[in-house]
Amino acid sequence: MARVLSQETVGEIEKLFSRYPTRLAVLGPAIHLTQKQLGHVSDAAANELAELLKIPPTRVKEMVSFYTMYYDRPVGRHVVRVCRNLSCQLRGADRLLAKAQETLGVQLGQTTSDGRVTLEHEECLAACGTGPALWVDGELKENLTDEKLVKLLKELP
Amino acid sequence: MTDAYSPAGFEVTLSKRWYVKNGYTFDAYTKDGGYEALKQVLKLTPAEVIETVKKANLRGRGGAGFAAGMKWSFVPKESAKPKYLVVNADESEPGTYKDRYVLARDPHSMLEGAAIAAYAIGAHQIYIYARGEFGLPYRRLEAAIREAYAKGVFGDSCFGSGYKLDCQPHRGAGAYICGEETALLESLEGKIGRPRLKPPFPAVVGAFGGPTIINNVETLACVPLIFSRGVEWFLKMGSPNNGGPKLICISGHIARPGVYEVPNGYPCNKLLALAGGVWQGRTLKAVIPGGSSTPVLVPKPCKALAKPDAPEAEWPLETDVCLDFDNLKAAGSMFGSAGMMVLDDHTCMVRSLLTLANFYAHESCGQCTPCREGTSWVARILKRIEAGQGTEADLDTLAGAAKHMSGTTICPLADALAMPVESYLRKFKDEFVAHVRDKRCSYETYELSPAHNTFWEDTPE
Ligand SMILES: Cc1cc2nc3c(=O)[nH]c(=O)nc-3n(C[C@H](O)[C@H](O)[C@H](O)COP(=O)(O)O)c2cc1C
Ligand code: SF4
Ligand code: FES
Repeated sequence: MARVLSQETVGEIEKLFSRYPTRLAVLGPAIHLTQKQLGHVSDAAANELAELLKIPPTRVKEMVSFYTMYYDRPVGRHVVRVCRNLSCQLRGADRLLAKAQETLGVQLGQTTSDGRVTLEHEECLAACGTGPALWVDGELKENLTDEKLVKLLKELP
Repeated sequence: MTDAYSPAGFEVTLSKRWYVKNGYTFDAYTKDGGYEALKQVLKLTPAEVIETVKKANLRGRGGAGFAAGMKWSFVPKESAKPKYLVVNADESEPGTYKDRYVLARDPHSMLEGAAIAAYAIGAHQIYIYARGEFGLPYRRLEAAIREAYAKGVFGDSCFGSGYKLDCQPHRGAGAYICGEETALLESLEGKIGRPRLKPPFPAVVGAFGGPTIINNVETLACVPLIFSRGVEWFLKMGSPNNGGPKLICISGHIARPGVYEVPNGYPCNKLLALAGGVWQGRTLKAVIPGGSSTPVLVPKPCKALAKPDAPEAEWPLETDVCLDFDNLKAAGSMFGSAGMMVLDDHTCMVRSLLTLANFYAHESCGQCTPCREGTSWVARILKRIEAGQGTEADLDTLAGAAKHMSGTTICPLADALAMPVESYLRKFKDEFVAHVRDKRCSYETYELSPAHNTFWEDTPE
């Protein structure tokens, strides 16, 4: 059967083995690398990771379901996480969340029908002093206004 | 620009390079005398290093304020298993965002501190566990580690001393609980983030079964200062028993949010004034001094902060408290991670508490029943009250639920919600009662008002 993890991804994972005393410890970084290639951890990818790290596939599954940044199913091409915690809320995050849902036409946790954007909430991004804030594809966007938000969401390719 | 985020005339050290172009590079750091402390330390015995840090009484900046030197001394000298120094860069306590600034703007100060700590405890491997959401700060950290390898800090012989020292950054993946030190270790080992029962303490059995010290980013960034400036300097900088400079994150309804550097023990009211005061000329309602879990302070007279026998007219306000571990404890709160949130008189306390309850319910790892059930129960009740569907009985249930959550769990996450519930109910009882009585919340949705803090806007890659 064809392998889903590319040579490159496997190579990057293997490079990490010498950095930790156990192979299991590479699991977290390995899932990040898998998602960098595939976007999420499919069953096939979970099995290949398990084989590579010499661990049961259930360990991979358990990790993926515990951490919010790991996905067991395909997500949109972009993931947007809007902070809803207190510092941002005091600066109007509730309105921002509503605006994001309205602009994208989805509820929290959903992906737009064209597969472009998945919208999630976030619990404090360590950007409280520059809130309201959101996270998109690994980067923070801060000091958000309605206009900035709408522009940002519309311009995501 | 620098003096805008520190008191006039105060010489900043921790945030000194934040405002300097390319201040995050090895060159900028060494130009300021960086890594000289490490070179000096390598000529001392580990015991001498620990003794010096103990004398300076550096208290952990991650939350609990435990003395770093003391903690280091718990590591057994002889160990069959390798020892580890783990940096806690998970920074997820709501209201807290200082470590992110250190990582992105001055990573070498933390790396130097980590190297000193590793040498002191006899660890040859450093792991830096950073929260998964960090983008730029993580790239800066990785780049700084590469530089440090290239310049001989890390590798087979730290600055030619023969001491082997390796350093590996490690990304988390979105779980607040992994900031708790034992959950962090589980996560580092490739497992889900469930706190461990203590004892054994990590200093004895930590990462991969070896003795491990976990320190916060800012704690470690303070360490080189103890050696470059001296113990005396460090002790004198703060208030008694609380030495050194301190980063404080201010957010919420404040005119100029930001990370401020002050001497430990700086008065809260002065800090609020320095940050421009409550925004829009409004009135201060409450201050959450040290991150979301710390009990709320109100601008009301506080006997515990007054001189003994002082008449009530002379009592300082709770919000006049000097910001350090001991004074905040005296005022009935905690310094925690110094994530200060400012709430103005338009703020609904029920809604604020509901937001925190939702957060803790979302982040409970689920292994203790009082926490798993308690946090979501509290959130459900608060949701009812905020929506105007609560009853008088709900208020008692709420207080009772909080009581049952504290002190009965593996880690303090349950207490982290129980404490605000208790303090909000006690200090803002009438607001909770009004929600029940009027069957509605009388506060509006907050306006969307971004902070317009420009700190990151001029941040090149
Ligand atoms: C639920 C919970 C979350 C925590 N999150 C963090 C965190 O994000 N960063 C941190 O440095 N410490 C955090 N801590 C504190 C750590 O457990 C630990 O005390 C700290 O990293 C020790 O470092 P220090 O002694 O240098 O302060 C958290 C504790 C708890 C109970
Ligand atoms: S108190 Fe909560 S977060 Fe902590 S170990 Fe128990 S269930 Fe997990
Ligand atoms: S509360 Fe939104 S970033 Fe901290």
